[in-house]
Amino acid sequence: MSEFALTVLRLGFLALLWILIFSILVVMRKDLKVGRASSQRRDAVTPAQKAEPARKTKVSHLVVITEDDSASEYTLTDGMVIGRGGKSSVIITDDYASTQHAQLNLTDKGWVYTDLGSTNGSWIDRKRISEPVRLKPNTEIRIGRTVMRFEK
Amino acid sequence: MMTSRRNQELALLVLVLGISRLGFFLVDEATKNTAAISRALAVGVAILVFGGHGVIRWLAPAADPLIYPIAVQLNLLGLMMIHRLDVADLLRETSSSPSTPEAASQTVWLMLGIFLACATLWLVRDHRQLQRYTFTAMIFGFALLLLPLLPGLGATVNGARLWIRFAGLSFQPAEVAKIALPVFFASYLAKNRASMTAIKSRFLGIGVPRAKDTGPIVLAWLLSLLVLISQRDLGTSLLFFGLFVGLLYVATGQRTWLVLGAVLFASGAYLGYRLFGHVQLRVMVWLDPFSYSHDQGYQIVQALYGFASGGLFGRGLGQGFSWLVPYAKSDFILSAFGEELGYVGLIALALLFGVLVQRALKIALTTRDDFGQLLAAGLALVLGLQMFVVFGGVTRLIPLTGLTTPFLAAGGSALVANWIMVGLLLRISHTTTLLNAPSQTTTAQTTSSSSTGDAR
Repeated sequence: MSEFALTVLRLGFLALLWILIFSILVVMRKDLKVGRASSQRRDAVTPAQKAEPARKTKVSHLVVITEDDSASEYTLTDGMVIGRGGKSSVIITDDYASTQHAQLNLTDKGWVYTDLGSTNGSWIDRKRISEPVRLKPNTEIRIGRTVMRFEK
Repeated sequence: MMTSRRNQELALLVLVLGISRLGFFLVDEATKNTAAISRALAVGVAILVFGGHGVIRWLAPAADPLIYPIAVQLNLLGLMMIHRLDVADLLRETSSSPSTPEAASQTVWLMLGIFLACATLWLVRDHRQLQRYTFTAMIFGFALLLLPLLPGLGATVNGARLWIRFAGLSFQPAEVAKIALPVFFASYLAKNRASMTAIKSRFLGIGVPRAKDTGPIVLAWLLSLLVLISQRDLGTSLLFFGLFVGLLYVATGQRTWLVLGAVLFASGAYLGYRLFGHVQLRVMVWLDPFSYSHDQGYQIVQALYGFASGGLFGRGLGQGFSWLVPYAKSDFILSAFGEELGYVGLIALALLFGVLVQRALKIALTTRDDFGQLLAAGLALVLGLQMFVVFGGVTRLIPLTGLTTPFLAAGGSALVANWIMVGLLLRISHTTTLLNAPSQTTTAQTTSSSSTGDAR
């Protein structure tokens, strides 16, 4: 093989290594996009969500938005517990959340949110609650730094 | 989403194998090596790598798509460089000093490594089950660290008592402790993080921990001093202390522990310096290698010449004099890369390691359970600390300490341990992605709304 061809391939090898690194960066960039998509959803909470036509299903949902802007959605079941662990079915990793922080119950008047005597309390529509609260659609619930939205 | 992750992985793997094939080809062309080992290796390795990919598709389809290809790339680059140095040894071979090719045995270790990573995925279906083995991991980890001290089993190689020899095989148990100890530290700290976070009072803006909480950090410090004194191994001692302090900080978020760790480290380092000739020698050679360029500083000086002659783009694979550095296949493999691939190649390597550490940290950030968080962070720390110490050591940024270059260096124990770490990271990543995904009934809805979010 000629000296020239060898030199070209030698630099080509380095170029390929960097192409690999840029491909890796492209994959990593997709992580950021997921984050952006969910924060857009959060920005849209108040005005856009209200304008949105009511969901056809009668199932209620809870959208949990964590500190790092990742959102996940849960279908509500009667007696469901929100907390950091234990018997909780909605797990939130927030240092300010208690192991079993709050409970959601379905009553004949709709969904009711009860704080289970947590250490740091719960906020509903920016007010700290001291007794069970009936949830209206698009109510904002906050535990520590985690924000949740109740959706009918 | 899961399939797209695995397809990204597959695409990267094809690129990785292409790069490695070109690397082997260049080595053989430049050195006019005609032995068929490269081609045989290429086929075997490709089958193995895709096999591993298949197992990940089966057992951890939601795992991070970057970890496996990066580990494979680093491992294959290391294999390529070992093969290149094998060829150099073969050319200089004389009847009195026969050369020992290491690429073949390294390939066997690579195969075992990928196999064990898959076995880890198969055995550990949920990383949280490891938390049950807190004390097993502790005893196992400490025993492995201290095993080489046993008379009749331990062996001293190049002044450090790190090896055990058993039935003709030699093994570095500290490499396996690099997995056992993060498991122990993570589950210990996951249970005790609350009390360790408590701070009694503040002094100069730094919290003062309660006296009873300082027990573990002092114990870890004493243990790493014991390793330093008994095995004369700076690197391992530093790695374990750094790992413990780092995890303590991750678990509690209290800078106090970093400050306390730094103070303990500095006093330990000073103590070591005063007490041990080999530590003093390392520091002297670090400060002024050229005065010792014919004896104790020979290795580092040759490595520095290698980096210099490599320059920006390197001399080209197979075209340098990388075999002049003693232990070029293991401890000083980075200097071979620096010489033949240049600064541009070396930075690419550093970035690959950087991304690997970043992925592990990202898994730690997104994992919901405390144990998984700390375990992923611990594995990131083990990889990151080793890379810092090795890169720093061969480029004379810090004194040289004997730590292996993960994935690159020749050496079976380390390679196997690193692949088990890859298996664990993939497992945590898979579990985390599944748990973070919305509940079954709403999966379709959420994915559709997040994809419309992209498009907007």
